[in-house]
Amino acid sequence: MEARLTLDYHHAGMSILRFHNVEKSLPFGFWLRKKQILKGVSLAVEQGEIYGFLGPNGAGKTTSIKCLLGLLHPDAGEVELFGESGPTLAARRRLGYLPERPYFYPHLKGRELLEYFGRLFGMRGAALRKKCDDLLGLVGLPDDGEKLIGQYSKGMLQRLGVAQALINDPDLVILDEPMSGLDPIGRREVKRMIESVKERGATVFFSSHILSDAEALCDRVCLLVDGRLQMEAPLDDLLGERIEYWEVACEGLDADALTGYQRHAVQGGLSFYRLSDEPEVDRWVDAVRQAGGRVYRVGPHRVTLEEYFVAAVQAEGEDDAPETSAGDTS
Amino acid sequence: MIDMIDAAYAIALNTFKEAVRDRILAVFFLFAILMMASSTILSWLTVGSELKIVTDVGLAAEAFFATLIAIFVGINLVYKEVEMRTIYAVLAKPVPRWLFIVGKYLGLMAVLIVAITLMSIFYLGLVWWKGGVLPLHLVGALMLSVFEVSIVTAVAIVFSSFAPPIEAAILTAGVWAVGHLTWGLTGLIERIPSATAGTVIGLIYYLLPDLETFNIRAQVVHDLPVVASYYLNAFVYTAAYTAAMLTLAVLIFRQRDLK
Repeated sequence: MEARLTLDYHHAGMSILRFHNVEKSLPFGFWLRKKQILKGVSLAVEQGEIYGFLGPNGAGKTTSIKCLLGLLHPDAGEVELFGESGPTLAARRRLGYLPERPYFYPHLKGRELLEYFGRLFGMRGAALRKKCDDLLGLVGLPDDGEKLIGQYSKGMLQRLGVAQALINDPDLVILDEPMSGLDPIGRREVKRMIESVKERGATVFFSSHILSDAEALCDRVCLLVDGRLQMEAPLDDLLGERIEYWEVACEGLDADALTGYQRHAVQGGLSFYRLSDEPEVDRWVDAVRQAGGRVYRVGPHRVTLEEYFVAAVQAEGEDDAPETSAGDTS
Repeated sequence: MIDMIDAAYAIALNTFKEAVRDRILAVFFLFAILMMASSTILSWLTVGSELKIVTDVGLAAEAFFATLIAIFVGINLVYKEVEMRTIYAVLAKPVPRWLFIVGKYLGLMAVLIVAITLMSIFYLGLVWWKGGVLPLHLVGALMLSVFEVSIVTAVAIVFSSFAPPIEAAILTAGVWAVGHLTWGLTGLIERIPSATAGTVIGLIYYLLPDLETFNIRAQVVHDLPVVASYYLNAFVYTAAYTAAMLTLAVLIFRQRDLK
């Protein structure tokens, strides 16, 4: 598989997955009124990266993934996988997919499910059995392969879902909310698995609204809000080294001892302040010492993905508001 | 091509496992056995015709319960996979939608063939116990039951590809019931004066399955001959009608958005 990857995508910048202005409406309610879910989504995922597909609930992440896999037919636009238009059989042969809230056949045992999915890729015999053993071990279910899936917990289902997504050693792994329903240990293990998939040269495209996971894993992220792509950028560019503010704390001073500084919070005898830049921090330190206090902590606060995300979602809401009211009045 | 056969086999095997591990199949099977066994009690009421009653009721029970299994399992074949979201992981793999439909059909047919075989063993044992000989066309009648459920399964898959189970069950049962009456339409076409009405009725006749073709109980009970070409024609009809229904199911399912 590594040889194939090298042949096809040996040069940097080759997109393994692309959306070109994809639009999709779906019918809802008793009258099956159509609601536009995707409003011209365009994005590109490069070979070998971990790409975070982020957005709030209802943004259209799962709909996008279903368009990518051919489970939904886009109304307009195009999806490309491995340079081919649409999810061809050849493309799907190189792809692994974990659905959101995976649910597998309760009448099958865990091992039987992996064998079933392995056969769909033409695998068989001892090689398939060994692959199933390896995967059950990898996802922490080595002793649960003979249990009926109907007896699996939510976390075990999620792990089994990850295992079946890796059955064919895929070049591209698409994970729809892979951390959802997992406890902290399960989340850590899935994170490790995602990293190991990347280490062997494959690409990971995963949707999530758990931003700390995306921040820890992703090379690049995009943000989908209300069916529109708000941004697509490398995580470093997005968050980078930019300091939002400096958080400083001191002790042994009254509230009015430092004139010219607005106290942000008080906790456990400590006074917290937020300062804009380093010169201001220097002036604040001098002021604390002159007033007889003790500097307890000085540290920069960098913007987190969560803060970026919340700001972007709120900005989208504000952008939409005037349009809605204009529409209402006309 | 070998990969496609492997994939179809895997889907069929999964369908087979799902059906045989479901209690409903065991319940149907138990009722079929009970109904066949009850034919021995009925036979006591008809002096001199015991064997005919056992033969007739047994064959009817077998065909009826095989059809019930075909309808009740068939209507869920596609719909349940979509509803339970199990289909997403399957169709994300190199499995074209037509292959999924074909695999499902083959899996249910395997279930039905096993069920009919098991019911037949019990039934033939009952006939033999009642002192009957086992004429070849008794086996032929059982084979025709397989042909009939092939068509019913294909029809159930068509409805399952777009309709929820209750609606699909009503529609499939409707086609099955009407399918046993369509033979009367040929007589109606000859008698009706209007050519247009005749054409419409003729169209209905050819669109709906003629399931009475597969009912040779009267010939078996009264030991009347059935020519070999009859079975051959029934086989060709079954193959053609099943293929047409599966094609229709694929055409519907291919266009469907799996929300």
